[in-house]
Formats: sequence, structure tokens, C-alpha cells
Amino acid sequence: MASGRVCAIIGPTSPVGSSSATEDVIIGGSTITERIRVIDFDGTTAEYIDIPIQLVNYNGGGITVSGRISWSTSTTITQQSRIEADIRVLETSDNPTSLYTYTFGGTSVNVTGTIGLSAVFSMNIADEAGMADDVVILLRMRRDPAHVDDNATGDTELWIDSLLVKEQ
Amino acid sequence: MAVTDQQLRGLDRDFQEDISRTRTPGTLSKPELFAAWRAIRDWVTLNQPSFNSAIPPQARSALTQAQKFALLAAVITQEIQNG
Repeated sequence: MASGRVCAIIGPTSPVGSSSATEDVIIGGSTITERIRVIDFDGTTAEYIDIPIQLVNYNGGGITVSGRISWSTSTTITQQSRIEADIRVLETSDNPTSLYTYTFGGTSVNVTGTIGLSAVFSMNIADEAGMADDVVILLRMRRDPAHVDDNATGDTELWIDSLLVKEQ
Repeated sequence: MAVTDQQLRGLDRDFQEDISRTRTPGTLSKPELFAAWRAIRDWVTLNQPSFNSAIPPQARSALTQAQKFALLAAVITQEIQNG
């Protein structure tokens, strides 16, 4: 418990049924250009993405989700994007077709001063009943453009391959 | 009829998607950008009478309001393309 160690295998992102954030790439600047895979979150409409995660070596105490985001337009450091998440624990006793109400918590991240640069975010998610080794949880992430902190113009980009899940 | 705030929200969304797609640098926050939309809408509403008066009398009476706005939009679009 509270080890701070990586405790999850992260699966491929899964679009939600509606208001889904969209996959995109940032094109690198090398002679043969790189492709950085990102998820675009709209600046005016709340959009969501699901990420399945299998817990491994998890000893309880909740998780910390961290990663990197960047912005496609803004250049001032006085702006922020609000990144939020919640989880659904998919135990064998949980029928995924039943209703689950997500309760989002998150963090407000300052826009980097230069377009193209990314910022690190981190947020804690409390332990929930059923979270244990080998259990799959769905991490649902969103940007909340209606949040009082969220004033950054344009898309916010979540770097898919930067996601990390650790024990708190 | 003046453009509503809800309609402006739709225009704002499209504009933000466009500048995001092209990765256009900018410095405006969302509230600042929307204030610009509102100011432009209010300016257009306020200046409709002078816009109408600027059109020669024959065309002024022959063209519908929608046609006059279509001409205005075409001129502005060309201005944008001219840079």
C-alpha cells in the first residue's frame, strides 16, 4: 500500500458511445516525421475517452494517474485546461451493461508558454470496492470545458503513450 | 434577426476546431474569444441601418435583406482570402 509503484497495464483507448474525444497525431519535425498519438479534447464541448486498465501488483490505497497534455493553439501561461477522471471497477459481479454514474475529480493544468510543449498532470483516484490484482477497471477521462478554471482556447491533447498508473 | 448567443456558441466551436486542426498559435482565452464574437455580433446589429444606406437606392430596394448579407459575406470572405 502507498508504494508509488506502477500497478497497472494500460490498454488501448476506447471511444465512448457519444461525445467521444477523437484520436489524432502530432506530427514531428524530423526529416522522416514522427507521429505522437494523442486524444483531442474539445474546448467548448465536454468529450470523453475510456481506457481499460488491468491492475497488477495492486495493494490498495487508491491510484495516481499521470501523463502529459499539450495544446494545439494557445501560447499564454495564464490559461488552463481542466482534466478529470473517474473509474469503473469491472469485477466479475459487475454487469457492464448496468448503469454506472461517474463522479469526476481532476486537476487544472497551466497551458505551456510555447505551442508544441507539453505539461505533466497528476491526479489521485481513491480506492474503490473490488479494486484488486488482475481486476480490470475502466478509466474514463474528460476535459471539462465548463469548469471555472478551463479557459484555454482550442483542443487539449492527451498524450496516449504517456499515461502512467501508480499506487498512491 | 440578430444572431443569438447560442448560435454564436456554435460559430465559436467551429472556429476553435478550425484553429486546433491547423495548430494556429493564439493568445486569447475562451472568454476573451467569445467576447469578440459578441462584440462583432453587436456591431453588425448596430450598423445594419448604415450598411443598408450604403447600398445604392435601386439595389437597396431590389435586394432582400438576406441577399444583401450574402453580398457582404462574399466581400468579407474575399478580403480574408486576399490577406
